[in-house]
Amino acid sequence: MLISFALGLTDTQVLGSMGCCMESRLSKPAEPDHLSPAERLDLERFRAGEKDAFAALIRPQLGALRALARRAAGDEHWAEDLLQETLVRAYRGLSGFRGEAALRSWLYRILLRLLAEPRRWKRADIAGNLEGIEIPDALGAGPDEGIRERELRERLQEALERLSPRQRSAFHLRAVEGMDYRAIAEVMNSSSAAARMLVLAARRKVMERMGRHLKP
Amino acid sequence: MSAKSDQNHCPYSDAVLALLLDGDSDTQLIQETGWQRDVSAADLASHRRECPICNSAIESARRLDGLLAASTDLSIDEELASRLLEKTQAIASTVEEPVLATEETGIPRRRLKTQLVGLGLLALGFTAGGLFWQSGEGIGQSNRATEDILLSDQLPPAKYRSSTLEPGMIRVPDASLTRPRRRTERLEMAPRQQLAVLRLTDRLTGSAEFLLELGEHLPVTFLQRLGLGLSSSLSEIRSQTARSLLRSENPEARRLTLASLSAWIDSPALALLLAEARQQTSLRMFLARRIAREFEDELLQRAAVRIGGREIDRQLLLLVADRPASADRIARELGSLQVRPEREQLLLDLWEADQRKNDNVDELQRARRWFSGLPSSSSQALMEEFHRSRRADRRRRALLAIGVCRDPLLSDELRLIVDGSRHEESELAAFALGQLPAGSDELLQELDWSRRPHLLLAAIACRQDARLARSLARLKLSEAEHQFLIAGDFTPEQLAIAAALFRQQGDLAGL
Repeated sequence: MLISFALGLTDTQVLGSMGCCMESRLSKPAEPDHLSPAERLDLERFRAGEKDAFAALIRPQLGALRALARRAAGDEHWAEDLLQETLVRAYRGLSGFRGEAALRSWLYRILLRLLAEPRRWKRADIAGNLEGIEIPDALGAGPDEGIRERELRERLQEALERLSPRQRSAFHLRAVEGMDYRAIAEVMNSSSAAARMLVLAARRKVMERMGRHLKP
Repeated sequence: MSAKSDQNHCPYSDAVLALLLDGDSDTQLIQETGWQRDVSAADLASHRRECPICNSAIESARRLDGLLAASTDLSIDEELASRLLEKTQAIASTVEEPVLATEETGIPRRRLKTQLVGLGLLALGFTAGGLFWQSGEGIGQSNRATEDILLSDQLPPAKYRSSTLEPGMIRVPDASLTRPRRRTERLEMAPRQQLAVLRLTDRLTGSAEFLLELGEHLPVTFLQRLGLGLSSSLSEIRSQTARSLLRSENPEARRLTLASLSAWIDSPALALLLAEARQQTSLRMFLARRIAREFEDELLQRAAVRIGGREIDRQLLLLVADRPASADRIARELGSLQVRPEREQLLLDLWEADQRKNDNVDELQRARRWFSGLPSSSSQALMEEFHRSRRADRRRRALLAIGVCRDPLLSDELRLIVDGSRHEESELAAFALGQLPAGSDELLQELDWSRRPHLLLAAIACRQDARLARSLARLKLSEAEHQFLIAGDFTPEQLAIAAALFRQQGDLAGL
């Protein structure tokens, strides 16, 4: 209570941040396991050679994984390439996954490692068969979305495009996934301080760019 | 906490954001980050209560985080998910590659090695060339024609040299072009047809005009280095880029432009671009020559059909005469655009050319495939073509096409044609009237005045009008004839039979 008064935080926030700090100071459990029982079961099935278990295990993570890929790659098609390669790497490495991190974090880590090495996942720009493919010409929102909201989103998009892929990813992990710095650092293979700097720099740049549009 | 906040900036804002927004109360981390050595979390919290800049920053950051979260789609459609997962198993079960180890730290050795080699080559290039400035992007493009480019800081002129082009001088109107920032954007011009453009500054937004000039003369790798300022709409940038590339005769630029023109769905931006392309004789001639030689290239055909023009349309006709199977594809493409000059004439010409080779195709079916769904302007153009043409078969086709267009605005003109002197045309006009979605009142009123009321009645029956169905009981008809007229929805041939049935009745005034 005293802490929450001093810091101006809600009790939940205080407990959350304390939990985070305490967790960091606790020694690792003997058999760390961040997997749910269902995930553990699917993993065992996969290891036993039931390849269909891969889909069952990964499918719930795909949406979030794709969102991060889109944010990081900044391009729909490349995001798909990146995601595909991430899945291939995950498939090959899943047998060795010990569950020391959450499955999603593990997948994010693979994705972000790949992001740094585009040669590994960018497919060549080959002209495909255009028959039957339609490219939306207006990538913005539909006509019924409020003009102000649409402008805000466009500006946000514009501002995000000016960030580096790592900054974009870190900011995404913080704002969309709600990860704390330590978790972001783990995923991004950096120190917590570096993760914090990435998030703050990203936020500062986007705020500067969006200026008055963020004022209440 | 003695640092002063100036009007727009507070040195503690970042720390306050980290603490209060991200729940990061680890003072050790605050100090590691190096903002302020002797600041505790409690100090920051109390600072925040006093500092309007930090308060405002927190509010803005909260809104920003919310906006980012709200604008992120965390779902994935089932089809894509299944495709990805299936493909994953297929790829993973082929060639085994080592998994990217997540334990690695620092720059991977291979990457470091590549970077060192790249830097070495770059240094060598500078030493040997001495004069020419190279963008880092060009190094990876060793399979392309080599080129040396120098854009000096002193404006203008700038020199460029290329192995594929004659040396020349160009004028560069913006100093920022001389040292573009290296951050590239991938611009989707068509599926799998991306263009890397260097993002420069907002100053270059709307600078398509001078990009046009550059696009005319420069080699492809330089074209790819051209920057465009980002505006709020990606499609606008794509249009700008396509417009810039449109006039270039560089093969790569042309390929990208044609891919864009071929792949984009109909929109005002595409219409503008096509109009611009249509005005370029060299492009039209290029396409006309290419479709004559490369008639299997659908991308080329598609772009050509969309652009059109006398030379192209002539080649398309020759193509259909030679390969009737392409007629449907071309007609479908013509129908996909809201605006396409000379479309109706070309469709009628294609129809004629195809008919010569394929006279067993059902004409009504073909008319429906090619003309239904065209905009109202098309049915008007078809009516003009009907009046203009002196050839009976072309006039007949135009009327059939008008019929499937179902444009109520042509109702009056069609009624006049029903009363005209050419019987076959009158029947087709009645067929067209029978296709209109409007009510039948105007046709019923016309019955007393028309030269051919039996055709108007057949048109009304074609529309399956309930009032006519009730009156049919008074006519001397067999059960089969009665059922036939009730069923309506006639083909032109059936409509002629229906009209004959009405005509047999003699006095139709009772109806």
